[in-house]
Amino acid sequence: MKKITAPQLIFLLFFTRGFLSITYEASQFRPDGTTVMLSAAISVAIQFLLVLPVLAAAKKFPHRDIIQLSFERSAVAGKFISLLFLCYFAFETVHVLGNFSYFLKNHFFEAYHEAFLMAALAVTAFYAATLGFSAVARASSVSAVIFITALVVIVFAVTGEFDVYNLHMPIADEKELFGSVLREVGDSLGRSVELAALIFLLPHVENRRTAGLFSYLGIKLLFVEFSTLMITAVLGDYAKGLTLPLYTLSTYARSSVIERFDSVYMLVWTIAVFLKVALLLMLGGQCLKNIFPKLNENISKGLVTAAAAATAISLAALDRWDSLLFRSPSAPASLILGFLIPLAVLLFCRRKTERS
Amino acid sequence: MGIVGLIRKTAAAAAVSAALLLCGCSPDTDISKRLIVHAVGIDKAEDGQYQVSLQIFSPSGSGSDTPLDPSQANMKVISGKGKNVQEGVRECENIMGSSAFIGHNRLIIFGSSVYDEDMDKLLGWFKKENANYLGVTVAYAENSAKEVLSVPLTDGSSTIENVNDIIRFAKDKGIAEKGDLLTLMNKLNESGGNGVAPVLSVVEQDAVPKEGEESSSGGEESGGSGEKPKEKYLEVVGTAVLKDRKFCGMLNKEESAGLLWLTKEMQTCSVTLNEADEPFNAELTDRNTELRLFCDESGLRLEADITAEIRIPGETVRCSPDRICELAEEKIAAQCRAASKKAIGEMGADAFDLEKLTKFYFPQLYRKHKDDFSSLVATADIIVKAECFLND
Repeated sequence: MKKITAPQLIFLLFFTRGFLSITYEASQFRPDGTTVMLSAAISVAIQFLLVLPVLAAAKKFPHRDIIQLSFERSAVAGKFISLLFLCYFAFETVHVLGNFSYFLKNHFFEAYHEAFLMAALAVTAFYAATLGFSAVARASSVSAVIFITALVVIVFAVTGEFDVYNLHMPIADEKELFGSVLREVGDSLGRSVELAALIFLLPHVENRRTAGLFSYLGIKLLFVEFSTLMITAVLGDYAKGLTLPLYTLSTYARSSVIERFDSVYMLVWTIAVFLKVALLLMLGGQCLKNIFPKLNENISKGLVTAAAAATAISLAALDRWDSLLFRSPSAPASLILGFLIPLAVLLFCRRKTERS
Repeated sequence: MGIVGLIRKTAAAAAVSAALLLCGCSPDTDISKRLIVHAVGIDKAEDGQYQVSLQIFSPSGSGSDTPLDPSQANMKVISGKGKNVQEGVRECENIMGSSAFIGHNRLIIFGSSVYDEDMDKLLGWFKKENANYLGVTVAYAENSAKEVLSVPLTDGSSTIENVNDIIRFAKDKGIAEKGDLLTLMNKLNESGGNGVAPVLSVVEQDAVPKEGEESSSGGEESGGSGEKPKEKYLEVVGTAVLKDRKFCGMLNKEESAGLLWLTKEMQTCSVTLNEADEPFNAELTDRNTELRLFCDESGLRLEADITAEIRIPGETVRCSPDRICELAEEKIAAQCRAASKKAIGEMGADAFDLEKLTKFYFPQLYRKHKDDFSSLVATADIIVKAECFLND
């Protein structure tokens, strides 16, 4: 199997998170921009600690992931853990497909057919998923150039509107502020699907895994802080009531050549959702194959695609898609899958190695 | 071909087919069947309903080579009534048989009949419309909004370009604040429901005969009575100040200049300085303005340190350079005093971003007075220190 490089890992993880970050970074409680920035810093600091077991496992067992290690310990445990991850990735796929469709319908073009769009996105992402980690990672590297260029253009176009006085401290008492920060940290951890994705990706990275992972966390923090800073400083308190703040910023941006940057945002957003769904389908397919080892890898990816797309389309058809409440999986899910399971597997394997 | 190859090719074919074949399945509106809205005017009709006037793009061609004749106004104004702005717009759409596209809207103007209306409520529809540009200029009219929109300005490719140029020019020359939708919405959401916006007025002047036209042609237009034909123009006459989300008064040009100095928005303003009954014109350009907010027992105190450059355009002035600087400094201080006296003293309105500055510098104090911030504003003191230098 082709390996991926550390920069490719960074970009792949970045797009996994980037879709959510450019959609809506804060929780539905709509906090101040400064609260989001403070929470993001705390959340990333926690994530530096959370990834340590996964890194330790990757260092000790460089060619096997946590699932394979758990299978070595017990087949039942391995299947159970695979099932948990499968549900998590499938749920996240449904969530991303639905969110994309929901926001597209409510902000861009209300007349389009949701089912067709979600089906087309799922099929395209499935095709990318069949090409493997290496192909998707290469695509994310190329897309990163487009992503960064687009953001730089948008930022330059709104620099003149930057108002430092919009960056006021949160207007809340200490207790209220603490509660708000805690809620945002939890929300941010809940959105960090990449913590779970890492478990599967790290064995595919050829070198500099630790540096790559820590660089990713640093870049993520920088991106969240910078985008929130721009949104808050340019849009002011109005940003708090928005469902797609970065999109609104792009519509406000204006240069002497281009009037509105909606299309630039749309381009970046579509790339991010495509790469994220492709990665999730790959991971889901891998989990399904772990449970049913005789299943063909691409068929397992196809089954995950079909199930996720059918669920998302059904929910959209029932008009029950409340994206704001259905915003992200919870922080406990990220903590259990991204930290506790790797830690437990690592401890069990260590004891086994010591005994042997 | 293996199963993997088959799956890949099928998936690729499905994706490409979906992209190519389904793009025509969604209903859309052809651009020729759209009303390209350039400006929206809102008035209140006698029956209590809102009268929404849309200035729409209507190209006047002068032959096949020039589908857009820049010597024409290239616009049309249509009006519709409704219980709210949205209904008024729908009425306009029904009249024209096309759906309105608001993505090119450049101006939202409120007529004098809606001075007492809640601005936030009137802007509600614009906030909900995703196509609407957040930087769109928001202004008040001294007359009716429809009257302002109906003035045909023929210097640019479309009338709205000229209207925006007039407002921008007024801002650049220190005549009035330029209000945009985003800034206004942020200010309206403050506890005092504040805001500022330029005020436009329709003025009538004698028409300037066009090249090739005889000067007597105007007489014919006015029915041969010998009266010179009149042409309508737009003028920015001052800055509207909002309080509790409603129009509460207007700052004249002098007071508007003070407002611009105190909000760091001033670029250049033309003033008349007077030395021993010999007035002369000067242009003051803001070089650096620093605003500092203080809070003590007596309340809020805004201190502004203004450094401005003086340019005397083509005149010989008798007084010394030091005296010119002194006069300019006095002028700036007088403008600021006039603005604060009118906005804070008479209207009790926060036109100077005091709430925003307090949130930034004293968040705890703001939290304490959040519900009665207007009372802090009413006692706020503004101290101006101006320093001018002469441009050689």
